[in-house]
Amino acid sequence: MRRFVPFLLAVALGGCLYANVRYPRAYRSATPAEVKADPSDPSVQGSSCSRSVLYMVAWGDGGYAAATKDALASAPDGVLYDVRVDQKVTSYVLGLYAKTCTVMSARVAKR
Amino acid sequence: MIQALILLALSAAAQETASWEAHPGLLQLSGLVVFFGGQGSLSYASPTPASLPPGAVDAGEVRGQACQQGVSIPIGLGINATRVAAGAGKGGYERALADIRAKHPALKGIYDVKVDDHHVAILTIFRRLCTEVTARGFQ
Repeated sequence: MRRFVPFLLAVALGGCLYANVRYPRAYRSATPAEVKADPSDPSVQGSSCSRSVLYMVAWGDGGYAAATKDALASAPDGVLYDVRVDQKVTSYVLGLYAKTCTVMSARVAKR
Repeated sequence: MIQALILLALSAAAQETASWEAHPGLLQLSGLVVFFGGQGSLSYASPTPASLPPGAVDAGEVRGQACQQGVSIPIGLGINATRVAAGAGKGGYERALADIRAKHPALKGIYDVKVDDHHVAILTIFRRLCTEVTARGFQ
């Protein structure tokens, strides 16, 4: 998987002509012990995506900030904990079009 | 032949990065790099909500960024033309966090930190890599 990551980044970035893309780097999220966790806390999902076309142009915001903002859309005053983050790649025809998404699942606690 | 295979396997193993090793966020330039003076993000044990001191008041979302820039100029014609490149910039955590402190001097600290890399490339000649820190501040 680790050898595949540079390829995925190259697919996500593309960018021979133009690239303006954000990708995730780090997020030290909270654990249930670090927030006021409650069994009734809702579960939320959020995602953020970047795209590339023809290996020439790449755009989009696939970073952690956008994914957490999407996850907290229904509870903007909450704080995420028990956060699971995956990366989803959809690629067509040898990567001529590729979409790379940061998919986040978590629970929301009150601040 | 066997020696060549062993050397190949050793070099492949050397390139494999172990899961505990850090991955610096340095700007990648192609060609003959005549100068590189960039600083990129490596690691940051960022605070979590459990790190808040007693009586801390949430101050809302705060953002900071720090960038490295570089150019890679072809010195010939053709797709595989030789390139001359240079890059610089303090684009690491230290400068990004200093940017937050400069924008919000009243903050006592941050928590719930998300870090993204913002990559911009134009015509493979100009590249910029920014470390963007998004967090919650507290006073």
